[in-house]
Amino acid sequence: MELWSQALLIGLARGGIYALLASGLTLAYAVTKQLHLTHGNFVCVALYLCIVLAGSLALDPYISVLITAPVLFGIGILIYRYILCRVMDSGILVSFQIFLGLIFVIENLLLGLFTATPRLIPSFIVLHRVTLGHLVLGLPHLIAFIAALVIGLGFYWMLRSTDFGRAIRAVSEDMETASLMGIRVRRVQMMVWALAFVLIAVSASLVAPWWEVSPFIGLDLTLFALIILVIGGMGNFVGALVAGFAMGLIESIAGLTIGGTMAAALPYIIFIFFLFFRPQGLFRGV
Amino acid sequence: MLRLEKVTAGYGVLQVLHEISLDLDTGETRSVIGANNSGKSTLLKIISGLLKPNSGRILFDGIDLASLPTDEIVNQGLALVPERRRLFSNMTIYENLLLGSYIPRARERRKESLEMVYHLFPVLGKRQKQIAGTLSGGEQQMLAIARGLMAEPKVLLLDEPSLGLGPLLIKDIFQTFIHLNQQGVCILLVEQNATVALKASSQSYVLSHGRVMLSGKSSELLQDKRVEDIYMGK
Repeated sequence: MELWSQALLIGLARGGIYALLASGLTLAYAVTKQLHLTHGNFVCVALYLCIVLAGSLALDPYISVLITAPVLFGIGILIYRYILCRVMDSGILVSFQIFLGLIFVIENLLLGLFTATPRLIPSFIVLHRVTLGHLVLGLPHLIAFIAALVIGLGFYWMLRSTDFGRAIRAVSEDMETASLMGIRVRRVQMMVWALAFVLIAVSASLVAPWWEVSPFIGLDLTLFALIILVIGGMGNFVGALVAGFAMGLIESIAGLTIGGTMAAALPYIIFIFFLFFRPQGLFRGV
Repeated sequence: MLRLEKVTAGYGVLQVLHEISLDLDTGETRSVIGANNSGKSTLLKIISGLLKPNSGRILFDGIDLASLPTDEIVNQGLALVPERRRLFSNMTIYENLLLGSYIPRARERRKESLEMVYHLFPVLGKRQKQIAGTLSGGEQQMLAIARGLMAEPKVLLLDEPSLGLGPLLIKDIFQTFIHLNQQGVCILLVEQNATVALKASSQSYVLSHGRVMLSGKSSELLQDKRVEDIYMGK
């Protein structure tokens, strides 16, 4: 019982992180039709920022997010304006090339600065447990799950009920007509990319106490977020959230029942299944 | 109010519009008619900023629109109801209308504008929550026009509003244009359906191969044999 509840919570926590990363990726795709292939690498960047801030200013990752989020927001804007914006009209392959190159740049930069030794970021709550009746739950996991859920619902509300949210959906459906509504398409695109980077920073701080970081975890995260993006439906926000949480749960339940090796392959098997039988993903639109 | 002076435009090396000059005064409805591929849609793309002219000027209240981006042109008071409606088909009627009033100036008067378009097209008011993609052709055209009106435009640009509609619906919709014009909305109507367009406007321009071949009072053009000849490519 306790094993199961632990596994479920870890699944929901991991799922929450996947959901946040994939939903940022999917929104960025929706408004620009470009895939951000360094998404996971910037999770690494944010995590190492947390390490630096913990080392130099003794900041807990839950607090240093107040610094990493604005920094990543800025990086998102720079990436949009100085890379994406310039190649967007030249088809998806050009930006693919650039981001693939950027993966190596980031990985090796981090490798040079921090070596390949995996690290954990100290947090004051890492050893705390929450006791619910006879259930014992890890606090960082609980925080990650709840934070991801709240942020996900917040973004959903924003997309549905604010002018900015409707503008995002309009741009993702039809850029030209969106501009005819007076929407500044490029600005909306830039803000969405920047927000996706904020989600990266938040995800990084949420996993900091329980994920070991090395310079090489970025690509895996990107691939995972891409799989979730496809399963949820390209560009569909709710799909990315649902598929993200589901993927985390499936991973951890599979870990308990069919064992680690097969469990690691399961997400990819599900992915292939989707490509065969439901290539459009769970949902359509934004 | 709106004045085009010798506007030339095209796509890449392909020249579509040749020295088009055109006027629209306050309170007027004018139409631009012509067969397929005569450059009508390109003309509206040029005015709304989706395409930039190679030469010539587009003056709106004295401002040259040629250097402005589309969103700023909307802000200046020009709203385009595009060909084939181009609704946000995954969104509801209500959301489409809200997007129509996205610019700050229109946002402030959103409530009044909603009342106005619901009064004009009651069917939209009754089905606010319906997804736009599931509407019939006529309802979609009403929504597209309503969405354009939500921007509180000084000039409404209409691209082929009769397209895909039956004769009765066309009559209704064009009656609405006359009504709107009486309310003080200035309309530039681009149409392939010459008869309805000429009946709904005061002055008209007949376009062929990207040139204005003929222009004058709509009532006179309605009787003019040359209009048909131009349509037939003679």
